[in-house]
Amino acid sequence: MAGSIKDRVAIIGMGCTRFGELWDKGPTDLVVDAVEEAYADAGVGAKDIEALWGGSIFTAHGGRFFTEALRMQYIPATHVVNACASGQDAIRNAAYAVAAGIYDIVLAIGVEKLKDEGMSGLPGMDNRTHTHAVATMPGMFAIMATKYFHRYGLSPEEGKTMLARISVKSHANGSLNPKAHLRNVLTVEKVLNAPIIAWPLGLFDCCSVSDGGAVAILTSADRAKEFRKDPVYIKALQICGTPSSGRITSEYDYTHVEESYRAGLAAYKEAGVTDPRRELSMAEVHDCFSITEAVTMEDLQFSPRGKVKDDIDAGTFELSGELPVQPDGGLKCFGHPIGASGIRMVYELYLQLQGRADKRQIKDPKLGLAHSLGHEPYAALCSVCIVGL
Amino acid sequence: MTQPAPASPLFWRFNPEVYRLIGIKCKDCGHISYPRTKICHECGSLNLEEYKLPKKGTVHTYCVNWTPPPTFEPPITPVIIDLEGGGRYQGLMTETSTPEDVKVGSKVEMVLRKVTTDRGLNVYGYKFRLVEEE
Repeated sequence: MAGSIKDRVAIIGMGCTRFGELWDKGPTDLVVDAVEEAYADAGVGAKDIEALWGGSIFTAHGGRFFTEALRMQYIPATHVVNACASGQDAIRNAAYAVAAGIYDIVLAIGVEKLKDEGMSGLPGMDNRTHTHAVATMPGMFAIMATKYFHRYGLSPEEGKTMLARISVKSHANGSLNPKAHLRNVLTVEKVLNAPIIAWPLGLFDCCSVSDGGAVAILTSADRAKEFRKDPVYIKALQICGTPSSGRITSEYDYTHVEESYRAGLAAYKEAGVTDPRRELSMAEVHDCFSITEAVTMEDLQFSPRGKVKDDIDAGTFELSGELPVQPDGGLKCFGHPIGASGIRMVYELYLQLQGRADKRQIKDPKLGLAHSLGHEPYAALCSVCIVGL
Repeated sequence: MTQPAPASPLFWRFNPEVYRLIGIKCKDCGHISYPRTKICHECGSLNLEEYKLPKKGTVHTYCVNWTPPPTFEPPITPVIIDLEGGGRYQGLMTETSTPEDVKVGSKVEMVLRKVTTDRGLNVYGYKFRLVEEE
């Protein structure tokens, strides 16, 4: 590669709505509420925005959705559709346009009004043959848990207890977050006794289905301090596509997600990170299900392969631990309005880096990682975004 | 959205993958892919030939889904099957007395079954049943 995004683009303002079952709001409300917070945060207004990129799967149909919601006057607008990585891909496209010197100030937006789609959980969207259609998202990730337990010699009870601790941690963090969808505190016992969704995963192994919107305002690193004293700089933005190898080759083991690993490698290289566990202050990863977070800890090299249980038992990823993960509650509790999730993660890193995360504040963070996993474990598209001071 | 729009099985029979179980085998490196790819996953070759899948395989992994898509009665047992000789098939178990009968490594064979009824049409597909170890 000829270039790197590191330290060329800064985030000067961000906004994020409360996530949840927002029946009293429409899609436009979510976009405008998030953008108005970001304008106020950055000290800019609609007239300053030169272009926008908006991530959404179900809610938007073309860039027009965003310009219409924001009453934007004839500026370039692009709709980014890249599964659960749509939000971070919106940031990536917006950041590249700034780095190219084409625009000074741009918006990266993510939004989803998921409850309006009438679904109780995400359906499987892989319809190549009749039989693929019988999978649901919980089912497609549950098969990874079965295989992980089997490969690493965990009994179902041991495996489910390991996963339960992940959800307990995320709920503890989510309970401190006024914008989170789910703010109840859980116990391991309660998680283990919850109704089964797709065995081995139960209700509290699954993230919430939420409405929400999030936005970032980007400008060049050179100009960032004109807007605020504490801009957050983009250190890496990587996306890893897939040949969907797990679908066709028996070599794929269902105990990791190759695309997460590769996106991590590329992002660490771009950011100059050589020891992610020690150099990163925090991470927001794609915990659509508890098992997803478990394998992601290994894919991003926070834990050795097959050993994440040791770190979970040691509390490594808790708010007070060595490497806090999901300080805002994650997809699990903050919620998962698909297009907004990737930007919501960066919003938390941004607040933490600026010391504005209130009761969730991590001590003196310097570098944070956000990770999105699109599609299914055997055929994923993953993004990794690293930001820092 | 969650399923292909149903059409008569008469039409689905024209698709080589769905009922006729035709995958591809790379003439250059021998890699077997199912579902079919136009380009060999292993070596990038376009020099491919049709390959009829075996109907036997092994359970790579599975779950017991108590919240299946609409039109399915819970529980269903989705399985990832490693087919004998190569290729993967994502399907459902059938004819198990209890989901606990299915294990990682169970030997299975493919049988044609009605999968569901969607918008008034029967949808057929392959399911897997347990076979005795030889």
